[in-house]
Amino acid sequence: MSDQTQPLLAPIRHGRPPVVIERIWRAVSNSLLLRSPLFYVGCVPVVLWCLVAIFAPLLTGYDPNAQDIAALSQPEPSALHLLGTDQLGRDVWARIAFGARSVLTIAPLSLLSSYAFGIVLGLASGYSRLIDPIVTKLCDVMLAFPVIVLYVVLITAIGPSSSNIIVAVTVSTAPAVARIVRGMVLDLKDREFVDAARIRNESGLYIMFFELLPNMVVPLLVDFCLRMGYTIIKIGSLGFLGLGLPPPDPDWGGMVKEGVAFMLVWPHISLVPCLAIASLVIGFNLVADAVASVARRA
Amino acid sequence: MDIVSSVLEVEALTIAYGKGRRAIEAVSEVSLSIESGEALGLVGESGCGKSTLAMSVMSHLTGGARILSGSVQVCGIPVNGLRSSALRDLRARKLAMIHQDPMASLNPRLRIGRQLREVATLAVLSREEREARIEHTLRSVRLADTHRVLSSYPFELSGGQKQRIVIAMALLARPALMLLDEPTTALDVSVQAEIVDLIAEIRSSSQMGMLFISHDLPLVAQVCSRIGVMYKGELVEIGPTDQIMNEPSHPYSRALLACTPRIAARGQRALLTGIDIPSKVREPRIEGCRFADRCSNARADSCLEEHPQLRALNNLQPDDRVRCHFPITEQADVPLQDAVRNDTAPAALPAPLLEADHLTRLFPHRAVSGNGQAVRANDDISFHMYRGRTLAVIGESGSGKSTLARLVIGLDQPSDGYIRFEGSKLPPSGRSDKVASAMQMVFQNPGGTLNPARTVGTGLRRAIRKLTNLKAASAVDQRARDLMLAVQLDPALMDRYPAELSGGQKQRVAIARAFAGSPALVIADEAVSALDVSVQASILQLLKHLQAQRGTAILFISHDLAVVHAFADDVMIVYRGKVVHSGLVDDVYHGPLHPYTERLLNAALRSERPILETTSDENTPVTAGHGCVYAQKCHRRLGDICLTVEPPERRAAEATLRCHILLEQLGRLSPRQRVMPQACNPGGTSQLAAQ
Amino acid sequence: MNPTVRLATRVGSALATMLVASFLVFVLLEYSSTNVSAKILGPYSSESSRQMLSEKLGLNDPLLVRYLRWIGVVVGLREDPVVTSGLIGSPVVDARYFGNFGYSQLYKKPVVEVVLPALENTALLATVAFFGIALLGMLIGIVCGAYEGSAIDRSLSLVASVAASVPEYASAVILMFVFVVTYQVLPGASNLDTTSGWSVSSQLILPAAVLIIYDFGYVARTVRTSMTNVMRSPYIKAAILKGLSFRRVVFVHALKNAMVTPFTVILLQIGWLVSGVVVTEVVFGYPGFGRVLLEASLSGDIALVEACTLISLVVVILTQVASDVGYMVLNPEMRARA
Repeated sequence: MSDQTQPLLAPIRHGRPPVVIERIWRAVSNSLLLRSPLFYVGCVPVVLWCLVAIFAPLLTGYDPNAQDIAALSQPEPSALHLLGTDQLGRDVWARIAFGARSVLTIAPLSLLSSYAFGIVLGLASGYSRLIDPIVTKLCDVMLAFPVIVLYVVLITAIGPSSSNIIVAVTVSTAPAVARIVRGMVLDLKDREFVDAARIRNESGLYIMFFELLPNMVVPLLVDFCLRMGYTIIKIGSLGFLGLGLPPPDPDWGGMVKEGVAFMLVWPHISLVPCLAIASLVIGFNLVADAVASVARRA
Repeated sequence: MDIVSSVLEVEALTIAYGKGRRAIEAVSEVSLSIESGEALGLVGESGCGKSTLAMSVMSHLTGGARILSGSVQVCGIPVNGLRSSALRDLRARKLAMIHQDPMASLNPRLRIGRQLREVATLAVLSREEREARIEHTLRSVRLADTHRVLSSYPFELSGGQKQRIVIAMALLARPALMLLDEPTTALDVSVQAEIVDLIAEIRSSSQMGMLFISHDLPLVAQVCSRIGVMYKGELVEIGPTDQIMNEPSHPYSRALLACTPRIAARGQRALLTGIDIPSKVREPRIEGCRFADRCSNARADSCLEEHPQLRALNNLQPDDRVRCHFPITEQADVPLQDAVRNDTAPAALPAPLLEADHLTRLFPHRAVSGNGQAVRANDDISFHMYRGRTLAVIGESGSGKSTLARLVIGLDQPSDGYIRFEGSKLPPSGRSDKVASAMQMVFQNPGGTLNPARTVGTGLRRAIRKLTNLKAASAVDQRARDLMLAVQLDPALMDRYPAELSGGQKQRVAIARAFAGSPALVIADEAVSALDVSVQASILQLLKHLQAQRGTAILFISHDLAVVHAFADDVMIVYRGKVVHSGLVDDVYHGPLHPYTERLLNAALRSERPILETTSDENTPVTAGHGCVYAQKCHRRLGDICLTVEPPERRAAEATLRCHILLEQLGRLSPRQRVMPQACNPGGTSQLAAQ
Repeated sequence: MNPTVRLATRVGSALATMLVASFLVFVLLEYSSTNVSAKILGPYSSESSRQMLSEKLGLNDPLLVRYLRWIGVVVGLREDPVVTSGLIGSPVVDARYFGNFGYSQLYKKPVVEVVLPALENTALLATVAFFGIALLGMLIGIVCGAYEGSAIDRSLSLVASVAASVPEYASAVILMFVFVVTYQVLPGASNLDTTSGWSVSSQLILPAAVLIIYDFGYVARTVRTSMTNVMRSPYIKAAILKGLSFRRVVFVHALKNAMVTPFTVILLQIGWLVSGVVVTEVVFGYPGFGRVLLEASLSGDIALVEACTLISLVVVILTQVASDVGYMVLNPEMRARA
């Protein structure tokens, strides 16, 4: 029955791009993704916030850390300060715009580093029976830590800074990625094409990176998209708990925390960064859902 | 209200997947009817629309399928557009369906009894009636220990038992029509024979109508009195079983018959003719006859341009209708002679290419049985292989035949024994690149044999670089193209991903890859068993062609005795890791038969009297050196000697078998049984083999 | 494998995980010995007094020795050197008891006395949230899975997905803005102090709602996936074709099979809640375990951080073991081998 549901074959084309790029391109250009309304809805906040991050200095005339003493008595949104100022008289929009920069660099960077470690560990542990018990146990231990607790312990030990946030995210995320990769390796490595490679006397490294890894691109891409929103939430939590970027640099989570104290009088100080984070994460998650549903059907 | 005699009436039914211009017709203008007490077989390759047709009878179309036109009536009730309560009632009382995989169609977390009672309740039976009916039905499917069965979970039963339960469940409501969708495909050959026998018995003893769907023409012929042949959604021929099996009029029916492997008489072997067109990309829609592109009789004008109608062949046989402009009218002659058969004994040949000496592979006990004994997947197996010859290894699932393939190719290491290749002993692990390129393998599953993330060409070029001395990109590419042509594929397919290829095409690519380094030995592990018969035949032709051209030795692992008879020169029959019978194919098949060989042949020939297993206690461990491995299930068991003393080796012509029974007293293939394919006798009662 | 043996191996592996994890925590937090004595003596202590303390407490010993000594104190096999050295001037405390995580510099109390009451408060909040998460998640997941692809499935899935995308602090702020600032129907602080005029149950509503909103979507998604997989299986198709009603197919045939994987996932939410409460407790000033952990961390109270971390690890690992055992019990194949 599946035969009929499959679309007819596309005409043969010559001179194709390399496999991985082609597969990503296919996943993206797949008509299903472009026909999914969720994908477009999700793209709107993501693209908007990326533009804001890139063009932050052009979008605001204020220094995010400059205090406007005059605004201290009237921090509410006004013609001068569109989104108002915070309790120290700093322009909220300027802080949001520059805060977007740190969120949108730290989150992808920490995820990339998590994937780099996770993929290597996962491939090695799935493929080698020698390494497997050590890596698996270590991942079990790391994944037993509640995420926030792990962050708190790590940041307590190494201190808060943007590079330490990347370290903390990597330590907590890489084991999860490694576990997923290992699962996929175990699923793939008994397939005949791996046996065929072994029969040709291919090395373990070749099999891991050239036979197995290309098969994981699509599921890992879906996982990456899903983790993006989650990571932004967690980085925001760190900021909110006072373990994020040290002040005075703008940090959305930190802005929420500072504003909460003034919730009853000036709710905009914490509401604005809350809405910023929520919209960005919702955007990423909608995109991830759309990509995941397309990948499932493809 | 008038009396309806037919239980199923399908009128000009057309079903399509998808909507609008992207719609693909899965079933086109199919009309058929089944009288009560009649069994109609529906045969066709995968994707021909036969399962979709069955689901439309059940009114359960999924995956975006819709009925475009036509109607389906069960007992005079149109099923399409029925209210859901009426539909449920129809399913509960008039219809029953048996699916392909028995393990999967029982709920794993509910006891058998509960699942059966649920069905009986729907048929509105009183409590006492219900229990009596269940008891009676279970006995009618030959399940003896009903009490135990009812309180079991599905995982506690064997595959054959589960299939019997599913059949019992279908019979419980005494339906008017039973649909069977590939009911035996997932079962082992010997279990298959028993289930088919059971189905045939049920058919003859009840007034139920039956729609039997299968890809296996001889199997269907065994049960059904009429057969319909489907091709690309159309019914291309329908007629009485005798007619279809002996004088099919449609070229496709004839081709299906010609590519079905059969066991021929001594000195002969069936020549399989495949009708696979490997290079062709699947075409969207053909104006004329849908079979025209594969048909050897097709004529340019009418066949390609005008769509043929289903019509009666002549007035004498109004039942035999065919959809062809130029139906064949003469008797089918199945070609039997084959030129390339190696009928000489291996002893007359030069030094062996490969010698396997006392190969043994033990697996730790925990995986299979919990009694601390190692499982002997391979036990003391020795054989020789010669250039240009094919050695087949036959065994059922779990017999250790795949383990043997893995030992020979080096994916697994023997616990004992060794392999000598081209005169030198192979190390237990870490073979040289030279050996790797001289010994290659073709795998069973076309879906897993090629890396789905890489194009066909990438994989093929890598194999060439690894297995030959070619390094320059242009030379490698040229060689890849040559290989694609050698396996009759368009080199343009090298830019495709495996998912875009058909099963047969993938298997051809796998063969091209195996032949990349001009190997002296190729192992084919069930290489054709996952393919449709027509494709299977053409792949076998291809392998044979390559073998004749390059003098390659082939180790052919299979469970199919008919395929082996048509393809191999020598054969080894393996049971629980031990070779019970081996030698030249003809001397094994036609000589005195080891009881196990006898049972397998019996099942493969679809005898009316299947040999049943004596006991079905599958968990009894085999202890090495204590009696015959087959003793526990043997229908010819002499007595305790079989269980305690290892049987002697006996030679009969160019064959060796291990059995306590004297050669003269062993079974043989009777001349009557050799006639294949065998048409069934409609209405005749097939008897239960009495042991 | 024999279930008893299986259980024993599972418990053994849980203990091993616990040991390795506690060692990692110890290494991370106590690696530098001067750091530890500085924390005890305060920022204005002299270098020489820190050295002396390090000497006295054996902080210059090899890491493994110190770790074993620390574990000995925690399980009550050894006396706490900080107490016996007389460093704590305040009321005399026991030096040897089970669960001796040391003395909290921040609260000037033994750590257990700080942690236990906080843990009780958190258990109250987590229980309320857990039932909310489990019920809402299962309900939505089952409905979506049974009617896969329908309008109700798509809209509920979207709601679940959006809810899971809003961080706890954001939903807390938004809920506070609506119910506390705008309508003033709920208290903004949940310090469990009833003198403010708000009852304990009214104080629990917002924190529990925040936890439920953040987590039910995950449970719903898991249940939905499991349910759709089961609904597509051949035995469900067979059950439908037998003529059973859809309701019976869902409730008798599908649910029993579909709830196995989600069961473990739902149990694991208990483990998540232990730390998931940190942010929520901080927003609402809830006197729970999470807030203690954060305050300890911000003020560098290492003994307290260690205690909180280990306790949350114990909870997580216990729920893991419980979900594994539950999985075995739910599986008739496993039960049959018993």
